[in-house]
Amino acid sequence: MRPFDETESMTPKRTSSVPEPGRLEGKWAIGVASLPLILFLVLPIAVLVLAGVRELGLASSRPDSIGAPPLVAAKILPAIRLSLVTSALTTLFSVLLGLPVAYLLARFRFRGKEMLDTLMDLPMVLPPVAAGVGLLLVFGRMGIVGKYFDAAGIRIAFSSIAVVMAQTFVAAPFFVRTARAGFEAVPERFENAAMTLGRNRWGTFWSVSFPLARPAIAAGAVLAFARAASEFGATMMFAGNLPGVTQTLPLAVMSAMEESLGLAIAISTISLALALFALLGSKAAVRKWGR
Amino acid sequence: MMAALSASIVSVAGELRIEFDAKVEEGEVLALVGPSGSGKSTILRSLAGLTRPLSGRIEIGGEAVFDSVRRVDVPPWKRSVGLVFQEDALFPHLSARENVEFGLQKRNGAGGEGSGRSASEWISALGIAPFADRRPEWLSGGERQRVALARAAVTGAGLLLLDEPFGGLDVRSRRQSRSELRAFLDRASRAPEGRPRAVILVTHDPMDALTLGDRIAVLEDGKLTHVGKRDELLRNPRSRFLAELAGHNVLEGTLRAGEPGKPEREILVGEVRFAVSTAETPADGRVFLSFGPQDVTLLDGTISSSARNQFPAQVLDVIRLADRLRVSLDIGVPISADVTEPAAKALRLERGREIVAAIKSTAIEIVS
Repeated sequence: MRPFDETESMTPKRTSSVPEPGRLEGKWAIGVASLPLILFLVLPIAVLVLAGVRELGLASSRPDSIGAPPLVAAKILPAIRLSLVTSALTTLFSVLLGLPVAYLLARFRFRGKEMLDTLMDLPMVLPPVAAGVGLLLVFGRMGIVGKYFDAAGIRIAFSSIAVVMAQTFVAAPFFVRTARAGFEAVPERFENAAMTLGRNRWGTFWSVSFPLARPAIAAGAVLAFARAASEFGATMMFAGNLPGVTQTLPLAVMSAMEESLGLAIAISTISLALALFALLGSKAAVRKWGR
Repeated sequence: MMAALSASIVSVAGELRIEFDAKVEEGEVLALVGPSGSGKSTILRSLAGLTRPLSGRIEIGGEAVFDSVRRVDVPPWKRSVGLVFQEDALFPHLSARENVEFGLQKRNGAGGEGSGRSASEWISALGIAPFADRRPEWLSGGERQRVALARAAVTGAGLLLLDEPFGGLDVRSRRQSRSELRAFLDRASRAPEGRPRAVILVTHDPMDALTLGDRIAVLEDGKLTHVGKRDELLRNPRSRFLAELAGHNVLEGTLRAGEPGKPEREILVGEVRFAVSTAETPADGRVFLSFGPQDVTLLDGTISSSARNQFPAQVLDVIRLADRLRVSLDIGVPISADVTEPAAKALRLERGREIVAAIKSTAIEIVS
């Protein structure tokens, strides 16, 4: 057989993601209207960075010194480490436990789906402190599940595990929501094709659905990590604020406020730097991962 | 001969109740034709196991894969069925070659060399090799179609289902593709690597059905209104859609070189010679030529000697359709022509009248 005529085969479908230069009327007006929010978001961050640099730089030479930078670092190093480890674990659990739920909601129709859908969104709007109370009622020493663990000598609440649980409670729904949208965007005919080519559900999922939804899955994981790293209320309630055990960075900022504003500023600045790294890093990862 | 497919099912698509009762033999191509929305795709999906029929029984290669009474419903991945989808369903994250090889992994645990060879064979047979390492988004519509065909054929499934394989192609590509598909069907139904395959080709285009099907099944509003050979169908159209279908002139003939040095060639159908231009025409041999009833002009008078494709014709019959008249003619072979009522009056058309039929050369389509 001879190939198709060139004109057709030489026109790739792919379109560039760079938008064409459209009409520019109104650009300035819309820009001005955008200014208030941009300023509102940027100003506190910018001032925080400036203050943080001053605190960390001048720390040792000032009368109300909070201590030299190494001292500050030593004080909050456990909190940094705890935040990174727990957030990473939370992300892992959110992905492992969230994938089946996301796929279930994306692909199948079943009774109670509406309700499950709403339940999955609930933790995102629930005040995290209330979530913490709920977790205590279930997994606390007197909790309906926790009492059995307690009898076996295992304490869940106010442990590092509790931190991961609190974070997973508030972060996993973000992953499910994002990954589900990713699965829904995979046309069903690709999965049907895989099935007529001999793959069962499991094989179809891993060879077609997962790779095609991968950008959304990666984005969902990033969201879950970000939400976990910033978690405060549920952790405070369910895991407490024990330095080195359950005191994550956000909790450390809170505690520092009681000691000195300078220390709080310093820790906040470090949190900000870490968040920025995480954001840039995950953006790069999504770019690389998203085919 | 054994039936590769024997199905008798009732399915539902939206409000439409679809009944399908047919057998397809090994090595046979059944063209399932019907207007859009008549339920063709639903039938294919039911056969492949992607949709569950309401009731009935499906046997593929003698094995029951669906039986509503005995509660048999074999999942698609265990049915020996290859399906080429109406919409482009190539995996976008895999190269053309990986798409073709997809069905070989995992299916037959042994896998191995036999199947690997079959993939390479199909890749070279369908001319996929030059773009085998490209992803679908970089392929043209015709190239994607060929990859889809190879992908479905490679697994060696005993039943091959093609759902509107020309759906996404423009007219020019369709013409080319029809010849390619014909070659593909010959190859697929011969199946050198195993038992001959049965093929169901779903299409809404009468041309596809008439030129590619060994038998033709016509589906209208969920019911099979005709199943049989092409000639039976053309002789005895029983509905508006069938008449539409039957009005399409499809003649089988022999393509021959014209006089040396001249770009023209001719197709001999019985004793009748049709002149065709050489552009896009295939090598000499057996071909189909086709033209619509609207491409035939009826003239009063005699034939000028220089005119191409003008034939003395005798009116066999005149049938009134909704907005025009369908004229059956004998020009040495039977053909159909459509004329408007005023034109028919002016020509005083009636049974037995001798006139001249002229066919536009550009309207003649050739399928090798």
